Amino acid sequence: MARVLFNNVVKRYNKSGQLSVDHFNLEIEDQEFMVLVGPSGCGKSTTLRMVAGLEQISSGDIYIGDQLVNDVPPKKRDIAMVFQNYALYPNMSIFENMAFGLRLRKTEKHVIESSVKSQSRTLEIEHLLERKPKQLSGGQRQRVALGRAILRTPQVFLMDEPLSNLDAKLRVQMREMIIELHRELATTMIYVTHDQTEAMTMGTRICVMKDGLIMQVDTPEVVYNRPVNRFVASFIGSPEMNFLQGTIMEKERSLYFSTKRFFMEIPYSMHEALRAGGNVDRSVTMGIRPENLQIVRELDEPPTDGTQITGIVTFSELMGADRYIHLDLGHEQKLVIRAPAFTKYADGTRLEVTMKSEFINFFHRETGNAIR
Amino acid sequence: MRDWAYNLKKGFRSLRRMTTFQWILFVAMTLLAAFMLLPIVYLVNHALKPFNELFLYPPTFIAKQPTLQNFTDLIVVTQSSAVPVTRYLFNSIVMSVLVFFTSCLISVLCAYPLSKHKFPGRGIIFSGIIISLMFAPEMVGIPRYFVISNLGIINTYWGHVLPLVAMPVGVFLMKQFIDQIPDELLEAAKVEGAKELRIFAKIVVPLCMPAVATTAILSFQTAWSSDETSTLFMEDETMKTLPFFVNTLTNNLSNNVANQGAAAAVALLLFLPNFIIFLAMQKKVITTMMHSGIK
Repeated sequence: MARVLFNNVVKRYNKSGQLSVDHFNLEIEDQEFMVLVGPSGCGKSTTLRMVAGLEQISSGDIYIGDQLVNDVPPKKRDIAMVFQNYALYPNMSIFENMAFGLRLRKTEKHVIESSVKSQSRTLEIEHLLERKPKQLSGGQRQRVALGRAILRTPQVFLMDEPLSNLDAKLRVQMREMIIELHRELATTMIYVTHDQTEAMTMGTRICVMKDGLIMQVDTPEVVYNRPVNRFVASFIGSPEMNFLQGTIMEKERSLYFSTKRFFMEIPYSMHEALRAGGNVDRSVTMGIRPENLQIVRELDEPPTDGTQITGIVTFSELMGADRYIHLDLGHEQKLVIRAPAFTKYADGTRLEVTMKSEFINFFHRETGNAIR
Repeated sequence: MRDWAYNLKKGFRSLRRMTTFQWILFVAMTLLAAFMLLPIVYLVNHALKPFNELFLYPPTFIAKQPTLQNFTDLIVVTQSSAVPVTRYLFNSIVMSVLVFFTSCLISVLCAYPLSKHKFPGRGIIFSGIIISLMFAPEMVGIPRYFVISNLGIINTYWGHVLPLVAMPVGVFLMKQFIDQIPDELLEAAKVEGAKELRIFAKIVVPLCMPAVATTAILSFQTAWSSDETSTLFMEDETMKTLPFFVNTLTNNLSNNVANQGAAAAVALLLFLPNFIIFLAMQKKVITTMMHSGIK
């Protein structure tokens, strides 16, 4: 049980090269489930490996608990790590794999035996103890790797994309299992993934990273509903958030979002932020999630007055419970709508849609930062 | 036994499924394999031929009246000379076994850091080892003699073993093999608290056993059939090895006919250990070859 604190941590692989991790500041609370998420090469794995002590820190400090661990070797950091490729020792049986760490700490024989047995029972791998890792399926191997980590009763769990090598169904099962484990063990966990679904479902907080920089750290709800910039908005959520280009216009003391095809009134709550940033009469990007769009009706003729948002169905994808309807608004602007599966429109149909305006996000055209 | 029957059955089933081309290939390969076997058949039979058959013209492959006479001759012939054949054999065994173990140990000890640790000059060291593969032993004969002589280990087992201990091929094979071991394995062990030596002994060495086996075969064959160290570094007859003795039997004696039988027996004696070791370890050798991408 311990918090993990990053203080201006920098990682540079080449002297002249780009920073892999750039002035990383983050405090991970005790017993928290922190998910580091981002596209590949964003430095999330490097960050995790620095906590583990497998990578040297170029500058800055990392604390585990109250101990500064910059120069502490991995085995003295009291951590356990689960790897993407499981990293089970192929030459040892499952029992030996799980007992390896305990043996190294000179735990008594009968203690090793009983704790491995009971742990393997909870993970439902008891019948596999005599086998070699090669004879196990991916899911079983990952459970062994988890068991091996749990047996060490570490202060911090580090997981480096542990579910990436599993198939979709197993991934969901293992996800549940890890969440449950976290609840039972009440240990700090740092979890690295590139999968935004895992991040959303598992984390108490999510840390979204890009190019070695932290974009946003917050609870899944906030990251999803109030992303701080366009990158976070598009990275989190599937299907991606819709982005429309347009201009903010002022008319009779009210603000409107106007594109070449339509204009719409902006709720009063957002006026202050838009005005403060000097965004009136400027072009901005509007973001809205697919589930916050509603289909009003089918149209036969294109509208003329510009008060309606309309588009032509290019194609639709049935996802089971939902159907994603792709609309072409013209002028290279596109919308994806998440609609119930029973709403069915032929390709080429013209539809009128409305937005739940309280869920609109505005972003700067150039910087991509949220306007709020 | 049932396994064996099952495999045979499976083999026949796949035979039936073969295309014409595969049949042609199958027959051709079988013939080739039989052809490659001939020298071994000849070697074994030659050692068992009685004296009159040894000089038959045309020579025969199969001994008509097999006898162990040649082996008794071998012992008798050398009993009269200063050094008995058993002494040569003993020297050969001591030297080969020592080379067998030390070269494996040194190769794997050298390959592991080259493969998994980052330190300055790593590339240069490895290139140096690769370049040293290009030197024929004849080329380094004289400098090697100076080294051995200055170390004062002429006429000792050290002189036999040391020149053969450094095996660039072994280091190369092992490095290629250790490269295949994922870094995560070693990192997992490190996080679990294993020290370098334990990681090496408990994970790296067991995992590269196939490469160790290959190196072992190569080093044993080199040592067992090498007469170079005996010729160059040993002045004392009692320190020389079996391959050297074979050469003296057939080349250096004035009477070439007299010892042909003994020579045939020694030839078989020289061949057998190689053969047995290779058979025992061939499966692992194939794994190594697959991993290191060489043939």
